[in-house]
Amino acid sequence: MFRKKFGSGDEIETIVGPSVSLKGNLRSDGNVRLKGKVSGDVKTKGDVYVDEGAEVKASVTAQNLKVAGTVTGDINALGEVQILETGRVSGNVNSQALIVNLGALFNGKSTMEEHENLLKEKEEKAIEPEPEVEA
Amino acid sequence: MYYYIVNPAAGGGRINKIQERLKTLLKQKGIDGEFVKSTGRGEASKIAKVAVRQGATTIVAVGGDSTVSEVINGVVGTNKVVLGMLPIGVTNILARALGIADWTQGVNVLAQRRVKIIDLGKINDIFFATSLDIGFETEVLKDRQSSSLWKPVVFKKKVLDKILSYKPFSATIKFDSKFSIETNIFNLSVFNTRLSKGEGDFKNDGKLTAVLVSSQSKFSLLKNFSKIATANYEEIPFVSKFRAKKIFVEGGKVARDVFADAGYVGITPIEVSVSSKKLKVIVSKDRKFD
Repeated sequence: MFRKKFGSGDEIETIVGPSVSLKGNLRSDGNVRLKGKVSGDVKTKGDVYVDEGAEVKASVTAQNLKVAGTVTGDINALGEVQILETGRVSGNVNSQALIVNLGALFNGKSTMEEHENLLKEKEEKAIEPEPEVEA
Repeated sequence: MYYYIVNPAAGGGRINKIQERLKTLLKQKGIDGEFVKSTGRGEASKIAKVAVRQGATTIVAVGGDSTVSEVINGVVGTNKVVLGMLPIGVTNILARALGIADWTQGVNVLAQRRVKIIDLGKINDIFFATSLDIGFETEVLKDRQSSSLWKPVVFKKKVLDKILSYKPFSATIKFDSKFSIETNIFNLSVFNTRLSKGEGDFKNDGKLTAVLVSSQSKFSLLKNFSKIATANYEEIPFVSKFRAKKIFVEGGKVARDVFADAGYVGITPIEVSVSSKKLKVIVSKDRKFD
């Protein structure tokens, strides 16, 4: 979940500024903020915030995602996806939770079962015994 | 033994004023050693290489950023040598990044001898420890270095004039061959440190941080004048930031000057990467390292 507001203390590892066009596969380990044009594919272990005015033609994989701009592409989030009132999403959303604010546009399919499976996998991995290491 | 490489021109010949006091302090701290003066550009690097061959294990750069940069390039790749610095230059970016505000504090830091290993950035065969700049900042650095006697108010006036007259340029920047961006560059800084110069704690994670300010209206730039004047680009609202191991910059039809550690190192196009070679440095106990 978004524990803190973006830009108010959370370190943002990647920022695509408003006058920038990015093409390709953007990978990050931290939070990502998209303000410009992005085409390709975005994957991060952190959160993604798509600012108002941003145009993202890409599939997005993140922990959580907030959309105030435009996203054309599928979204995969381990946590929450929120489409804010200025947000436009055309694509399928796979997440634990989806919030569509009044005024937002969402054209696509929302699924949540995938993440139940992911959580189960995580739990199973967590209880797997540590492999023995020879001295 | 401590080996001091002194740039007599640094800071407008500041060493002449402080030399006796400096030597006395070093002796009191038990870290006095051999003093060698460089005689021109590139000389500090050659002196450092000779010192390494002669078995020096602690080499101290006494000067500004260009002196430190030259000494780094003279000692890089030698695992036994530890680099110290006594900042007496106009811009002392690396020293400040390591928590050394001035030469008197530098003496104490040397005496405490807290040694850390830091990553180095690399452009062609040149190594740098703090940042690389392309665009507006190179113009500011050129002016700063041509006049060591600037007063802050004069400096601010110069920066203001430059903001109004500077023309951004179109560029393509590639990151780790995975993605590329197209933009008009006002300034691009690539940091070996995690955050902006002078304030950044070192993050030795094998990645560089590119901080890009794209072309904006003069009004937007002037609104952020204080951040531009202090090279605090990361705080500007329309900034872009990327992290990568290798960054390639192609600056359009006209070649652009490239500065690293505040010194000229070449022109665009350039490829900058994190070197596999590391540097042992003496740092302030107040400075955080990952």
